[in-house]
This record gives sequence, C-alpha cells and structure tokens, in this order.
Amino acid sequence: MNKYKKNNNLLNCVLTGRIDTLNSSAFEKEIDENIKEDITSVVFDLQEVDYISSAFLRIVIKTVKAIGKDNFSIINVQPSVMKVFKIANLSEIIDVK
Amino acid sequence: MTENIDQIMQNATLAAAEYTQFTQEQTDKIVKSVFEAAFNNRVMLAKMAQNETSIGIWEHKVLKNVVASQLVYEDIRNLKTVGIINEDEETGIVEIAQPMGPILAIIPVTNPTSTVIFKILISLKARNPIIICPSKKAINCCSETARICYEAAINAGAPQDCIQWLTSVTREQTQELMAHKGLALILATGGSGLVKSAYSSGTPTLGVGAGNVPVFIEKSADIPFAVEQIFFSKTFDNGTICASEQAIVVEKEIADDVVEEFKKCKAYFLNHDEINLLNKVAIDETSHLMSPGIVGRSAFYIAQKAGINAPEDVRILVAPMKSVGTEFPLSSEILAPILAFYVVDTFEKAINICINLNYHGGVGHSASIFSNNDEKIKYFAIHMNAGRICVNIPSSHGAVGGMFNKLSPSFTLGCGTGGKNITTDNVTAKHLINIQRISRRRPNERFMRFDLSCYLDENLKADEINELYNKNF
Repeated sequence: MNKYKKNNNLLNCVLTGRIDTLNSSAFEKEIDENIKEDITSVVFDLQEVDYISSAFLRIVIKTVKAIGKDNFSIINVQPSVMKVFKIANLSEIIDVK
Repeated sequence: MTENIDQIMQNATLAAAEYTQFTQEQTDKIVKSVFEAAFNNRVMLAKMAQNETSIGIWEHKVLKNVVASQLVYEDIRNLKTVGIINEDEETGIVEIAQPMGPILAIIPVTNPTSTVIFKILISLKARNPIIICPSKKAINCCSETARICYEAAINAGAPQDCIQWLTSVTREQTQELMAHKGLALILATGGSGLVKSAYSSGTPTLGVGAGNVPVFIEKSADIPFAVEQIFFSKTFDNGTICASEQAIVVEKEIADDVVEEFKKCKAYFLNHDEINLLNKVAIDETSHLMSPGIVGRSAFYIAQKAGINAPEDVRILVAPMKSVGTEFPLSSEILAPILAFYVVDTFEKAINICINLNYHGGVGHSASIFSNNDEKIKYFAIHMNAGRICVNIPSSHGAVGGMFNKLSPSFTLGCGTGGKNITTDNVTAKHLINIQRISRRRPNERFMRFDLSCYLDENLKADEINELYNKNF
C-alpha cells in the first residue's frame, strides 16, 4: 500500500512492493491526485520496492517534467532497482539515491 | 507505430531496463507464448510474405516459419540465459548471463516473416527488447508478424515495447537507428551494402556475408540421391536461401550419369547462346551482382524473361561453364533456380574449382559435398573457407540447421572474418547475452613458490626457466 505524506510544499511518496504495469496505472492516478498546485517538491521513497516496470519509469519522467528536475528525487533505492535506473539511462537526469 | 527514432529508442531502453528484472521462468514463458503464436500463424504469414514480395513459394515459406518458430524454440528452450548459467568449483569460475540491451533487427526481403520470428525469439530469450527494421518490400508481412509476436509476449507478461517495428523506413532513419547510442547490437541480415553500413555505425553488429556455395559431387557419391537432394534444396522457395547451391562440380568419370539424373529431375541444360541470354537478365553488368528482378522467381519465369525456350515444367536452369569469375557471370551467387555446372578431369581440379567458386563472393559462408569417402570429405572441408560444410545434405536446409543435422537453426549465418563477420556460428540466443565471470582465487602453488626474479635475468632462455620452474618442488 503506497503512502503519501505532505509536509508544507513537499510530497513524500512511500511506495511498496512490485510496481508492475498494472500497479503503475493505479499509482499514476494517485500521484495525479496528490500533486496539487501547492506541491513544489516530490520524493519517491523506494525502500520497500523490489521491482519497477517501464510504465513506472514513464511516470517518473512525467513527474520530473511536471515538477522540475531540481525538485524531484528518488531515495532509498535497492541495488536491483538502482540498476534498472542506470540501464534506463535515467540516473543522470534524476537524483537517485 | 511511431517512426520517431528517439521515441523508439527511449521505449526500447525502458523495456530493456524492466526486462533485466525477469527470472528465467518468466522469460521462458514469454518465449513459449511467442513461439506458439508465430507457429499458429505460420500459413497466413507465409502467404502474406509471398503476396507482398512476389518472391518464392508460399508452401516453402510455411516451412521456413516452422523452422523459425518450432525448431528455433526447441533449440533454445532449455538454454540458460538468466542469472548464473554455469558454475565450476574446480576452476572457481561462475558464469552469469546479462542481457545486452536493445537490438535492431534488419530483415531481408527473401525470408521476411521467418527472420522476424527467429530474431524476436532469440532476442526475447536473452531478455533483450528488439526493433524490427524490415525491407521496404516486405513491410506489411513483417509488421504483422511482429504485431502477432508482441501481442503474445505481452499476454505472457513481457515488458511494454519489448518488440517494436518500423512501418515506413527511410535509409536515413535506418542509419540514425543503427548509430543511436542507446542501441546495444545490430542483427544485420541483408545485402552487403546494408551489412557494411551496420558495421560502420559504431554499434556492435552480428552480420552475415554473401554466399556462393559450391557443391562437389565426388565420384563415390550416390548420384540419384545427391541430385534429388540438390533439387530439393535449390528449388526450395525458388532458391532464396543464401546457403542454397550455386554451382555443381563433378569429375568427368561420373559426369554423364549426373547430367542424365539432372535431366530426369527436369533440369534444362543451356547452350552457349542461351547462357549469354541468361547472363543479361540474371546478373547486373555494372555491379556484377544478381538482378533483383529474378530473385526467388521460378526457372520457367526466368527462362521466359531471358527469351529461352525452356519447357514449362523446368525446375532448374543449368549453365555448363569452363571457369569462374566476372567474365562468367553465372558463376556468381544467384538466389534463384539457376546452377553453374563444371566437369573436370580429376579430384584435385574439382577441389580447385570449388575453391575458386568459394572465393568468388562466398568466402566464409557455406560449401557442400556429396561423397562416401571420409578422407575426401575432410580434404574438401579443409580447403574451403566456409562456416558450414554440408555433407550429403541439401545445403539450404543443412546450413540453416535443425532439420538434417544438429547445427543450431538460424536465419543469421555467420561467415567469419572472410565474410567480415566476427563468428562462423549459426547465430542464436547464446550470442545475445553478455557473460560475466566470477573468478575466485585458485592459487598455483608452484608459481607462488617460484623465484620470479629468474624472469629478470636476460640470459635465461625459455627452456632453462622452464626447467627451474619444474624443479620448483
């Protein structure tokens, strides 16, 4: 179950489990609902995530475009998922930790 | 489907990233699903290919689709392509398979649907997304094949965009794709210009070379069997397989028997004037390459086009020749039911003609012999520069593999450095993984205890150092 915490203008999204193509579609809706005008920074916490799909990567790209590169980061990434960001060639344009 | 190259490459890159997380079981499920879908559509796709290209015979294209789906699947089904694929306790070496990344597949007009099926299966088995780039003359049948395979892959849980295909292809777009920094590998099957262009792109390429397959019917051969096999192979899909027989070489002693057998099988032997007529329609005078207009056409169609009065049921046009080279145009590769025919005095002269044919545009590809003399078979093989030496089998089917022998079935036949390729293998899934090796410490006690300063003494020769080394214990 994904959790969303708002702290002033920061949206912290704590994601869990396997974000496959199907789950990504539900996640996209949740993100769209949570990113309102007052949100200026977004963090995806992937501590509990062990699989990400290309659909999730597209949501990441979309979010970066919407919120700006400097206002978006991905934290607590597992090595298996870190490698996916590297292969997807996204780690250079997104702050992945 | 979009033809925006950057978008295609981004889709492929994201698919590649997702695919790295798949297990062997998940991967195998996708490959099985694609095999079944391709196999179940083998007839429809074969007819579509023949209708669109006007090349070959649809019934034979069905068999090509069967080879590309069923035989390829059976060949790669149990291959380990994910994670640890080999462990050797003694050497301390563990091998790990990693996918390569997005693959661009260049598809020829001669075997369009079968090559698409083949390349998709081997790429997906190795967890690589694939982009299909078809010949301009086969776009519809290739697109439909790719679409069917993609639907099956997605139904089996494959990553989105793991298969993409181009529906309108310009030369510039192909070159842009080939040189794209996100591309991992090109599987280049096609004409020499295209393959060279792929090699020049800077992206690693598994390509193919041209063939010019000599067939030596050695005097110990079973002549009716040999001729029947040659006809089966050379008339298959009207000769469109690049490993199909191009020239027959026989010793004088058995020449009459071979000619008689050829005639029984409805070969038409051309006279000098008819050879000149055929030269004009079969080979381009400037490039010295086969004319596209006769590729994969029937012998009767070609005879009519050349103004040769051959019977309607003719199966192969045979041109008796004296030598090999550009001054003998029909000694070059022709993917149609045309054969050059040489009669020589001795075994050695036969081998020399075969070498000349082999080196006349077919270096590294394939060669064929019919013989029951094992020493002569080996002698022939050693003197050919060919990735595949087919013995007592139809060379088209023999080189492709999986039907008459145990070669891996493939529609990308490596031709070694002679054909400007990196391998002489029949390319398959095992060529599409990067293998990492864990190498654990396995000390060589003798080396560890050896006085390494010996190597610094310029006066010590190799055998003296070796002696010291062996006295080490």
